Amino acid sequence: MAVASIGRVVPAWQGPLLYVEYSWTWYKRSWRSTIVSSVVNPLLLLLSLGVGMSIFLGSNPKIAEFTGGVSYLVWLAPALMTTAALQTATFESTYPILANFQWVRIYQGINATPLSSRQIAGGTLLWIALRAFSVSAVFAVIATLLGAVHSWAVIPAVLCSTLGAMAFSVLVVAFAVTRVDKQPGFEVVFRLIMMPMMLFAGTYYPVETLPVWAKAIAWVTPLWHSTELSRGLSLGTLDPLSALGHLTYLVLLIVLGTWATMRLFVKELEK
Amino acid sequence: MVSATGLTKTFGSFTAVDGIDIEVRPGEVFGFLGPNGAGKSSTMRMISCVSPRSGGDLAVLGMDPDRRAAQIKARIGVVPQQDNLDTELTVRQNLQIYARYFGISWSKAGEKADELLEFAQLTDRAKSRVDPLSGGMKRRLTIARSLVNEPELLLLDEPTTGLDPQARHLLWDRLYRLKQEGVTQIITTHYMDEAEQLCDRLVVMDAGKIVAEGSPSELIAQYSTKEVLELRFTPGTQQDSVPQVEALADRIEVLPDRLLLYTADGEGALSAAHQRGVEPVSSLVRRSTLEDVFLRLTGRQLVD
Repeated sequence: MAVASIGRVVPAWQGPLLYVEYSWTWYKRSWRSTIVSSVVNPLLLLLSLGVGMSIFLGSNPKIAEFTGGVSYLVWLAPALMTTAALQTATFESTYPILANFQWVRIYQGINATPLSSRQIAGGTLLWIALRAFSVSAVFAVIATLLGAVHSWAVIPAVLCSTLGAMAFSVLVVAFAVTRVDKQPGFEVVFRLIMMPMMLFAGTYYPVETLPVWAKAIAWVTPLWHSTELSRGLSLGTLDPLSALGHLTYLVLLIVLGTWATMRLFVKELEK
Repeated sequence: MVSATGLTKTFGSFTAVDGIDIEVRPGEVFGFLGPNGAGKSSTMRMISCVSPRSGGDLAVLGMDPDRRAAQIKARIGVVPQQDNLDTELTVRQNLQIYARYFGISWSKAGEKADELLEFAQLTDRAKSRVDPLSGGMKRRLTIARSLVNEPELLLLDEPTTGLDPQARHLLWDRLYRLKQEGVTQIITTHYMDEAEQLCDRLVVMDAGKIVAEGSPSELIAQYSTKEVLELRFTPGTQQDSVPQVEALADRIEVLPDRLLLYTADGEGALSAAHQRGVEPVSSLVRRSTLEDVFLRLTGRQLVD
């Protein structure tokens, strides 16, 4: 009566992908509810801020000085893209993480399988990255349809937008894991970190116009770096050296956050 | 299948599992019986490789959980105390997705899901979301899910806690079938009837330690008498009759509302008690159970 199990250990790289496969199955049944935020919001933002402001500002020479001659809409679009990606990724990094740990306990379920805590953490981050990427890509398509995109450089810009969203998200996920079975405290993240970041990261006006102390805030935020990259690529004004600087900063944050997230997942799941 | 010596788990200064020795043999159903907080779940979590041990030796399927967790987890099934199904996915999706984590192909996972739906009597709910299912159905689905990899060892942490009697019997029937198929099972429970029904062999745990070990009938023979006479009194007055009945039993337990008289002949003791003028509100003669064993060993009841 010997029993032989049909279970086997999947290769290390496949573990995170299996988590993504699960998330995709989950997402498919509720994607309609995210349509509003991923399609309608960018449309409204681009129309009201981009088109509306463009008319309001008219051909003010001071504006043209900052935008490098392009219309405000074209100048604004890449920044709105990075902001939208960051917003979605941040939300995905808060309550859904807690739900998986303490309400639905999905993570504990998966942790009983051959997948390791690190692979589950990796899959979680990968899924958030895919969400950030899809939001950026949809945004880019809509912006193109509205005439706000003039170059194929929008494709690397979409990747930079994803990178910027992740540089912040990995830190938020790590924070979320420390909040399991406690007061979440995500309002602090949304109101005191995400909101100011969106206002000071040079989205709506160039950071150069800010006083030094406010500039310093912008430099620290991952959003400013990804906005500079996206906008620079889209407008063709990016110089290689600053591109390298921005990329390095974002990648460093991602490496740091991923490392912290993995450690915290292990600590939380393997008590 | 599982062998532990001096197995210990501490959380800070609290010792949840205090140096236990166990040996689970292939094909048997092994039970951990004990009240809440006895260390049963902590032990199960160490065996299922999700909680590193604090001390002692542990081998599961001949492997060390510290070094080969993934290999062990690939071949065992786990039914956690708290259901962790994805309540927003369908019943079938829960099974199919879970099978994927064991390296089973999408199509094979689908076949496996259908087979297990049949086993868990959930085929007609395959496309239903998990959320609206009854507790018993969710529990059956959790057990079905633990079988997607055709485990050699199945770990069930309080599989029927919170279920109604009918749902419990249905679950017991499924577990019995698995035993017949040769699946080794480890079960924790604080229900003595469950332990008696399912377990070939069990250990009684209390405060992190094993206080007794054997088959249900061995334990009863060793730690209790054949019969028990229960004399029920108005709460608070039970103590008064102790001197009169003391000599009638091998041992007496005083509970808040009744006296338990351990004796080989319950009816004989009852009529003797009546003769001595003891007038309980009601009386009952029954055979000894694991509950009595536990009471004897720890001085406390299993379920408060």
